[in-house]
This record gives sequence, C-alpha cells and structure tokens, in this order.
Amino acid sequence: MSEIRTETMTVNMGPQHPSTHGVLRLVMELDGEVVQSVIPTIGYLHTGIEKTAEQKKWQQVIPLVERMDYLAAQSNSLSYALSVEKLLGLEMPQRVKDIRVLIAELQRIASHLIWIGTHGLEIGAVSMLFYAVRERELLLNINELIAGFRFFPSYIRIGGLREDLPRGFHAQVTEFLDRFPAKIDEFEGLLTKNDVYRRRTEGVGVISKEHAYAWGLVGPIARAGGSDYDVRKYFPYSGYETYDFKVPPPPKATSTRATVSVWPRCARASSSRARRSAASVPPAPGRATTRASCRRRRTRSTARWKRSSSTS
Amino acid sequence: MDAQAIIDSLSPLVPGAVFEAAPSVDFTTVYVSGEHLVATCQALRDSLNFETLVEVTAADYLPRAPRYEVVYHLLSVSKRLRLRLKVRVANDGTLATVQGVYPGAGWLEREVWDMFGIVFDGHNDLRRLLMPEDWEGHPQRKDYPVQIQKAAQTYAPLEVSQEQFRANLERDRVKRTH
Repeated sequence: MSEIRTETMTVNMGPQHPSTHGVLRLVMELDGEVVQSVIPTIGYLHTGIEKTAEQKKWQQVIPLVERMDYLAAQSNSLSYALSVEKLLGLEMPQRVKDIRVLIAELQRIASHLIWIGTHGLEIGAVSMLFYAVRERELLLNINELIAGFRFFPSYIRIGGLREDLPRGFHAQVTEFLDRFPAKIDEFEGLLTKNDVYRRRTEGVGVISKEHAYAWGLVGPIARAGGSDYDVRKYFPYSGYETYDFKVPPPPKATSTRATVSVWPRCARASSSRARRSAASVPPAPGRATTRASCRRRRTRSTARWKRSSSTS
Repeated sequence: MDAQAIIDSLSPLVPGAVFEAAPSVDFTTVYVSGEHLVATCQALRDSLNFETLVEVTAADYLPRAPRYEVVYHLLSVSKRLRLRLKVRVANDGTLATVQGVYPGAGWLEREVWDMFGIVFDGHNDLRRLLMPEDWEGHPQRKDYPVQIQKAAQTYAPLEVSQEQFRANLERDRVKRTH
C-alpha cells in the first residue's frame, strides 16, 4: 500500500474571532490538531498610550494606564503610581500600603477569574465562564463601592489614594472572602476532574523552567515549569515583605493543566493576602469628619486645578 | 551587588569593553558600548546567572547626541538580582541583536524597531510588531507628531493564485526557520 501523502494546512484565525478576546490575528500551520507554527499579529489593540501619556500631566496618566489591561485595571495604576513615587522618593503610610495590596489582590482574583472562565469556555467547559463571571461580579461591585466605577476606578493616585475607604467596604470584602474559598474548590473540581478537559490539556504546551527563563516567561506559566519566581517574594513592593505567604510549589506534571492546577493555590494565597490586609485596614473611625475634610480638600484642589488649567 | 561590583566581575570576562556606572533610583544600572553588548550579555548569562531578559526598551533624548538609549532589563532568579544595561545609539545607528543569547529578545527588539526605528543587526524577523506593516515613521520618536492626519488605507481585493499562495507560505517558512 502506498503511503498517504499528507501536508500541513495553513489556517488564518482573526483578527475578529470569538475566541481571540479582543483583536488578534493568528496564521497557523496545522498538522491535524497540532499547531506546527503560528505567526501572531498583536498590533490591533495598540492605542499609543505611551505617546499620549507623554503629553499629559502625571496625574492624568492614571485613567490611561488603567485601560492597558482592562481586567486588572488597578494593578496597572498601582505600578504606575509606585514608579512615579519611586522617582519622587516618596514613602507611603502603612494604611495606604495595606489598602493598595488589598485592592491589587482583589484585582488579581478578578482578572484570573476571567482567564480561567474563558479558558474553560474555549476548551469546551462552557459553564466555567458562568461560574467565574458570577464571582467577578462581586469584585466589580466592590470597585463600584470605592469609586463609583466598575471597570476603571482610578482610585489609586500618585502619593496615595483618591480618598479613604467608604462605609460598608469592610463588610462587603469580608463577605466575598468568606464565600470565595469554597468557590475555588468548586472551580478546581469542575475543570481538573473533567475527563474531556484533562484529555485536551495534559501534555500539551509543555514548557520547561529553562525555556521559561530563556523566553522571559513569568507567573503561573513559569511556575508550572518548576520556577518559584514571584516578584512579590523576590523584589517586594508596597509592603509585600510583611506578608506571610508561600509561592505555590511546582506541580509534578508540566503542561497546560499544570498552569491550571497552580491557579487554585495562587487564588487561595491571593485571598489570604487580601484577608490579611483587610484585617489591617480597619473601617476608618470618624467617617463624617474625614469626609468633610476630604470635601474641603477637594474643593481647594479643584480651585487650584482650574487656576492651573486656565493659565496653561 | 552594586554597579562597581558588576563592572569588576564583567571586565575580565569581556576584554576591551568599557563599562560605566549610571545613576539610578532603584536597581543597578550600567552603560555598555554597543559593539560589546552581545559579549556582555553572554558573560552575564553564563557567568553571572542573569538567565532572563525581561524587557528591551528605548528612550529618545532628542537634541542630545548620541540620540537614543536602548535599555535592557535583566533578571537573575537564582541570585535575586536585577540589572539594567544601557547602550547609547546614535541617530540612524544600529545595534546587534541579543537573540542569540536571549531568544525572548525577538519581539522586544521588534517593538523597539517599530517605535523608535533602531535597527537590530542580525535579527531574524525584524518586522513591525504593533503598527501596521505599511506605516510610515516611528511613533515614539520625540519628533513624531502626536496627532497626525492620515488617510484611511484601502486595498484592492486580494488576488493571489494558488501557486503564489504556496510560494508565499514557503517564503515565510524559510524566513521563520533561518
């Protein structure tokens, strides 16, 4: 019998495709279901934020950077604020540091929920998205509570925060943190005990630690390959050095599934860090006076702002 | 490890190179000359455990000569160290690629070429990363206008024969593998 002649197939995916989440074009060379090579075009989402930021005042850049990664908006403004404060040589008070860590960890959970939800969606575990988005909704409610804006709160400012935490914040965060650990177990069971899911991910996209370092990969991807690099442990910022947490140890299997199996431990660590900072941020006493003084300050700064913008 | 310690341990490894400590608000920063960049990265990776290249970016100091500074952020996970290498590049100057040392440099250098127009010699695929392929100019240069008027680009319908399509694929494949 003569051999069957086979050849790879080149498939274009995107720029607009339901599973690219945004706009991304992939030209893939496929051998059956195995991707042999892929040429990505990532520029469709490029919005020239750096060029725009050069023309703005420092404080005006915060809403811009929040739009860079719209799933964890406040993590972006945190890193921007930290950089500017580093240039200015500013040291934040403990309360600001704690609130920032709390917000950053909540944003991390929100962002990872969308990741794990859509990851499940694309691989056939559609209900994963519904479960994940339900929890994220509660985090967006918290955003709305602190700043009246669910996606881009602009709450973290250079030199601190926009204002103190609102009344009811503490209760809402505690409520979320109380219910979330059970949900992590639920997500974990939903994916890692799903036979279809396991067959589609185990042994796929294996990345070794050396590969991850050579290609500059960090986060759960590198950790799934056996790295223990976590910037919050190695180069702590905003008071992370005072938190007692463990970088999740590398799993035995190295594959896409390993990345997923690292996630529940990351999420648990995140929520325990959030709990610790929530505990160290007691509801502010004397809200009425704080709010009044806040309003006075804001009126003054608005007046200053008007003056400076009319002269410039 | 401060800049002087890095320079002291680098100097015997990269003969002929001139290093210079640079001011910095956070982590160690060292200036290196462009022609010794690749050898320096090689020495840093192999002898000083800087396994990872985190970022390549550039800054445009327009009236000044040399005009650009290309900035490399290196990370040593095993030693818990960060290092910033800076290379001064003249207007229309070129720089050797560090892809041979850090394969992850490919996209980062493409971005710097796209945004600043700095050519990386020896790069295997120096196309624009973010801007459209037929874009003119390099947006992050200081002399590039913030707001420009550009007519929408329209194309004639794509007409490629089956043979041309296959030839294009083959060409891309050759480009990818070399």
